[in-house]
Amino acid sequence: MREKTKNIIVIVLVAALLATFSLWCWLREADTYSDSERRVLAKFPTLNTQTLLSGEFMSKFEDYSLDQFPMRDTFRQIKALTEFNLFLRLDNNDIYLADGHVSKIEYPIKPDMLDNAAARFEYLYETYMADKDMNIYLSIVPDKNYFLAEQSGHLALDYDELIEYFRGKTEYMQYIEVRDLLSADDYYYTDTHWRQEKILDIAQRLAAEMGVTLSATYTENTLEHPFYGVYSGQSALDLTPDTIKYLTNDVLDGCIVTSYDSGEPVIKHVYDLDKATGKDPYEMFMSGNDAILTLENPAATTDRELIIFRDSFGSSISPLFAEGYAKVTLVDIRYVKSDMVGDFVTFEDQDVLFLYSTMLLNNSLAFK
Amino acid sequence: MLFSGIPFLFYFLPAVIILYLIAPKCLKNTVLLVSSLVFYAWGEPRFVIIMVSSIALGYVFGLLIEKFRGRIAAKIFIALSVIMSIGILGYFKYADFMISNFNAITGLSVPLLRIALPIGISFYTFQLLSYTIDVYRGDVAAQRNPIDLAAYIALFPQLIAGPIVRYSDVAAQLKQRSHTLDRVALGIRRFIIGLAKKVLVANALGELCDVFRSSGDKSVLFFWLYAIAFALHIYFDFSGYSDMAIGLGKLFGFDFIENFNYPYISKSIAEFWRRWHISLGSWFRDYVYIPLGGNRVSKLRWFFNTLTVWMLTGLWHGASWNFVIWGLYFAFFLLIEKFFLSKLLDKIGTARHLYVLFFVLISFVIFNAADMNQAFADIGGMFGAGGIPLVSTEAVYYLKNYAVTFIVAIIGATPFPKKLMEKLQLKKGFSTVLSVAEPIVLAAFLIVIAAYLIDGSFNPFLYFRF
Repeated sequence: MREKTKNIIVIVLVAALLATFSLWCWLREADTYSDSERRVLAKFPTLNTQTLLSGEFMSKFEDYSLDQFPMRDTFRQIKALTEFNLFLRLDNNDIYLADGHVSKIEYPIKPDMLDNAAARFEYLYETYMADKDMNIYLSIVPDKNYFLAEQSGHLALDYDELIEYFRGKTEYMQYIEVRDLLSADDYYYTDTHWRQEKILDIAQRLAAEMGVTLSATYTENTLEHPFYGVYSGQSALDLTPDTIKYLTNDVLDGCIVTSYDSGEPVIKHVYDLDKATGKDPYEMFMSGNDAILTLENPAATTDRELIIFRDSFGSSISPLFAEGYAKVTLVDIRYVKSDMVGDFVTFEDQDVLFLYSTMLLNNSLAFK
Repeated sequence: MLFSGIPFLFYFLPAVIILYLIAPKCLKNTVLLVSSLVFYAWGEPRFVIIMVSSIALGYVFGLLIEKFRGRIAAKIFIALSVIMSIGILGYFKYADFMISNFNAITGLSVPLLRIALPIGISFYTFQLLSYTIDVYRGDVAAQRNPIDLAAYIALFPQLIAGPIVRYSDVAAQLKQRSHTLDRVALGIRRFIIGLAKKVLVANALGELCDVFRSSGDKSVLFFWLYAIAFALHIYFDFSGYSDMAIGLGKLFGFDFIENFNYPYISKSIAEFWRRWHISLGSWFRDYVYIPLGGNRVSKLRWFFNTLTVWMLTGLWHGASWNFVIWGLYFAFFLLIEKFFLSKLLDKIGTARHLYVLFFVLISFVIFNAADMNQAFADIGGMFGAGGIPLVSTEAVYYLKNYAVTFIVAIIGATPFPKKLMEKLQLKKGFSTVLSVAEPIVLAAFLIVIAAYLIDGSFNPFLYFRF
């Protein structure tokens, strides 16, 4: 090929690429939400003298141009594939693939975050429980990196160290170990959470340690809607979706779930099937991350009650406690201030379980 | 605005190219000037006025110096021009450095001014200085058209991170330049290669440097990884920018000076500086070192000249003692090489490369340190000071994670890929394959680069701070 022809092809090809995407950028209608990243996308910034002179317009336009680029998810996928296949990176934006799972590196241990979480728990204990006849329990759920990271050559937390450190700060609680009952396959492949159908033994262990026997049998129901977990979108790769299964029986069918987030009691569902087809299908469990929820079992043969301070791992396991308690109260201190919990929950003689994942304890800034 | 940003690539650049293409010849420099001001204002709207004022001063002084050439007034005007240019640079860049040193010496507490540094001020001030000095010397005629002079100083391809283009090199092109297919294709090729160097290599290595800095799991291996990563990062970052600048220059009909010539293959520190940031080195040579007498003076005076130039070179990079030490560090090696070391180096053959790489590596550890305490700590860490372990989990992980990037960067920092391509071009079969592959590879590069930019975070060029 003659040099001149080659140069013409270079110019035409690059100019065509630039012109196509440039026009597309200029003319396309802006999206408002990214399903894959589960976040609101930047809008075109306000243009006026003040925003121009302060540089605010330019700064926000940078975000806008990145968020609204045509075929954004395809480009993110190209980047991920290049990182993994060309540069042989072990992770892309901390996301890695191992053993059929996609996960996100959680490293290193952050003592200040653990201290913050422990301080919040101690505040709750001192404010609401210390002078009551209550049994307080703590169980730490390992994120799935516990089973995947070290084995696949990725940076991994020292979970023994983390848990020992945290137990040392929460000695007023009785610790319940559950790691020996879990494996990587007890978690969704594309999501951070555990599978409800795989954690019956965890619920039984926790309940047994609290003096309650769980022995109910459940019907396993499978959602038809595919579940692309949070890491699926973050990885930007084409991954096989998970399937959500949920457990039902007569006891659960008769349970009443009430949310107090709006200030007034609002009846919700143990399994919200509308949310199962929404942006985050895992939110179907106990209707998602409400600050204060109660699960009442009218068929209970006991008047025992359980209060669970929890993160989203608590959403899928809490229905499994319904069998053994008349009432289970779920409190998420990411969404309600610790000093306001007493406005919604009366602490008397209930069992109290602090059930948190390592991931949240190690990133506890959201605790209020 | 960053070359390696979506706003530049898909909003600004296409718009400027279209305007430039449709503008009549007499307005092409105006298009370049206006777009350059927009380019500059995008990042620093307040500081456009500083740059425009500096250009206006340069323009007026250029005319006055020419008008009074040979007379005492010309000397006064060149002195004023230099003082004012360096005064503006000094105020914005060095005021707080001087105040903090004054406070340290006197024990006083003069408050710092905390002035933001206008982007690219060191680059455009040096271009203005070269212009007025060249006019004074009679090397170039003063530019009578303010648009042309402003377009030269503010030309966005080289405005904020060089190369430092001399007016004498582009004076003719400001009036008359050609836009051939070959030049445009060459410009595109050079721009995309520069963009790839920045986005695919430099940014990745920069991330590794950030990870190192925030890690609590340091080891000797990690300190070495950091040192090597930073040395490669700064090379790919800065030479990538220079490639983009040169490529963009060609798109608009300008030929800018080459700024890098594979510095890491040098066999001496002197050679390294003939290959690294060439436009800055030659600027200091022509406007400071030679006017001071160069090396045609007594040994003591030459010693003084060398130290002065390298102290200024260090200071040019930043208002901090570690930059001064960095400059003097190179002065030390240049002096001992001149006195005796180069004869010794001749005897050790290829090990000369290791000598250069080792001391350049150390120099960049000093360069990138926040202060001299950190520089000493980092250098100490490379040799196990403080009882740190030889290897740490994080170091091993990041070595594996960035292994391919390191290999690409190390090979890419040598002329090997270029020579290989040249050899393959000579083979008939390969030549055809390469001709077909090149446009495809360039387009693929552009797509992958866009993918990295869309997925990535804000990643400014290192040399913007100078």
